[in-house]
Amino acid sequence: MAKQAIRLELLIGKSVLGVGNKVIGPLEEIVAEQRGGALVIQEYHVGSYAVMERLSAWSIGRAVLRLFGATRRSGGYRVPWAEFDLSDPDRPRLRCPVSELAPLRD
Amino acid sequence: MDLVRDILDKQLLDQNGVKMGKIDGLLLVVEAGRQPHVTHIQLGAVVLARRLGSLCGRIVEEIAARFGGEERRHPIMIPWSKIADIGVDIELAIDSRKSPLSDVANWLNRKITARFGG
Amino acid sequence: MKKLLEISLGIVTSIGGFLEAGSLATALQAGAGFRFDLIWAIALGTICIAFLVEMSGRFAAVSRHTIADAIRERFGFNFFLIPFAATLVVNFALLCAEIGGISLALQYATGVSCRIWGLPVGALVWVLLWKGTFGFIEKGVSMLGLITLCFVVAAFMLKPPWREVATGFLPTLPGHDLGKYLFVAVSILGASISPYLFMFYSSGAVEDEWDESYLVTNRLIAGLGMSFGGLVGIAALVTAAMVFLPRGITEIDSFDKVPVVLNPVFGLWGFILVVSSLGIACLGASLELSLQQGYLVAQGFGWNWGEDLPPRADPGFSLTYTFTIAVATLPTVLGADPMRVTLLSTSLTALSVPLGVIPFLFLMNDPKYVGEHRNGWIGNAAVLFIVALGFVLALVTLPLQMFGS
Repeated sequence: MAKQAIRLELLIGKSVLGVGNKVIGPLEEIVAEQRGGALVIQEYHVGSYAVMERLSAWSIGRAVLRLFGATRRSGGYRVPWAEFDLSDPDRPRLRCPVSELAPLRD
Repeated sequence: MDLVRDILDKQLLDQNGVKMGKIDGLLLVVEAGRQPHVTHIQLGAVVLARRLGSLCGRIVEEIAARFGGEERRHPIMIPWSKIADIGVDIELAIDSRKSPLSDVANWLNRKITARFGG
Repeated sequence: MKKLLEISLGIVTSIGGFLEAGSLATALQAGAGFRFDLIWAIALGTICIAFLVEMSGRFAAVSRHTIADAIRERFGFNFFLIPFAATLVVNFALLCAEIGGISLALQYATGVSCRIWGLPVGALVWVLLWKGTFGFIEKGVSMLGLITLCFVVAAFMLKPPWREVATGFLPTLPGHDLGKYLFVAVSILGASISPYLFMFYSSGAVEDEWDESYLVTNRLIAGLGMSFGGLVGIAALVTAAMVFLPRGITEIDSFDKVPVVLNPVFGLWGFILVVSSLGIACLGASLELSLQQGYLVAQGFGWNWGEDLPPRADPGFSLTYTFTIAVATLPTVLGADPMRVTLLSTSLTALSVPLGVIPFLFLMNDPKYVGEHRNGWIGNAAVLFIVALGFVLALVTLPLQMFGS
């Protein structure tokens, strides 16, 4: 795969595909680390309640979400950078099966 | 650091504390066998418009090119290495007065603000 | 000692700045149409805005951010556009009404049509912002706004039946015209809980460089300032009930009926007081609304902003309010009826308030921004309830009013 320049802000929210093109969840967050002068990506957070983090009024948020019928899906996953395939930026996918991924703590 | 929570859409300040816009986008470079890394911060209406949809992005690019020339079609790019500090706001080691970021503001001042004693 | 001075100034500013075209028009209509029955609506609206203003000040003092800033930073640009667009539209409609109010006041004072006053009034508002500083505008004009206390004096001198006034604080259903009653109630809520009020407050707190030491000051200013301001609104309602209703005037469908409302109490001075109150109150609101448009756009896009800065230091901010003021004079110049613009904008506000308030409530419960100074459940519940009430009522009554009148 040649060098690719991708607009990160457009990746957020895209559905991440697993083996067999099954939708795993939306890409919610990207964790990076400053190494020297560069900012390198460590892992991607997929299909989690990181959306709750963003709307982080806990009691209010849960109450409102319950009001709108958003029931708990299964918790999200942490995907190490090497297992995340961005060769098609519109359809990001996993390189490994979901079972090998660490879960995201809520 | 979490890029969506802590970096994207956050306020940029230059080395004198002058506000320089918010981080509208981040450029990610991906290549086989290497860890992906963020190379540039991106600013500009074209970046924001693209976040709303590809049609919206194209329309704003056309308008920008028509008013400001072809180079305005592209986002303003600031190398990640220019970041001085990351806190509540993101501080850059740049003097905004000397950078192309001030172009629109300077043009507005010349054409309009200065004429009315501002 | 210095804090005491700031608290006093802040309270005085809030009282002087409370009445404007919307709150005055709706209070007078409520009194004339329904006697004391709608006092509860002003009380409820005042309680809600007092909570919101206190939260806004607390938010700015602790996080050192303004609300508009924080909504984009926390929720992302795409989500931010929704409250941004709604607030821009509502602020603009309100500004048109306020400029109309100033122009009308000048018409009553001079006999020259308000359509001719539209542009000069816009120019005045613009010059004050272009050349003035934040302190001058906030304190100076709002102090002048104390003239609206004439309504409080009048309300006492008219010797209303105080027991009946007190009953007005309890929500009741009217004996007649339920649709109209609910519409006026919604308009009162919309006039009281305008998003620009609490968003402007957070920008002001940042302009004044508030920090955590201002939390008590903030609570006092918000609580006492808004409460006393609400009393001025109630006084206007009581005055209208005592003056208009007995004379068979139950419909204030135009500002033209308003200038004589204090004549029974003050004679010719009544006319002067009302016209001055209208003009000054609307001027204060115009300045705040124009600034808030500038703040909203500049903060949303991360540009430099600040009323204390010269315009060339923040051209995006300055030209935003310049453009807004220029366009907002058009309805007045083109002959739109200021009363209709006012009532339309208060209803629009009631409909759109949830869009601004709900993200703000999320922020007020986010420890990343407000640390340990998060909202208690009372604040959350009170605001949510009143905002939801306003929204539901607006949804119900707007279609009725649009097709009825």
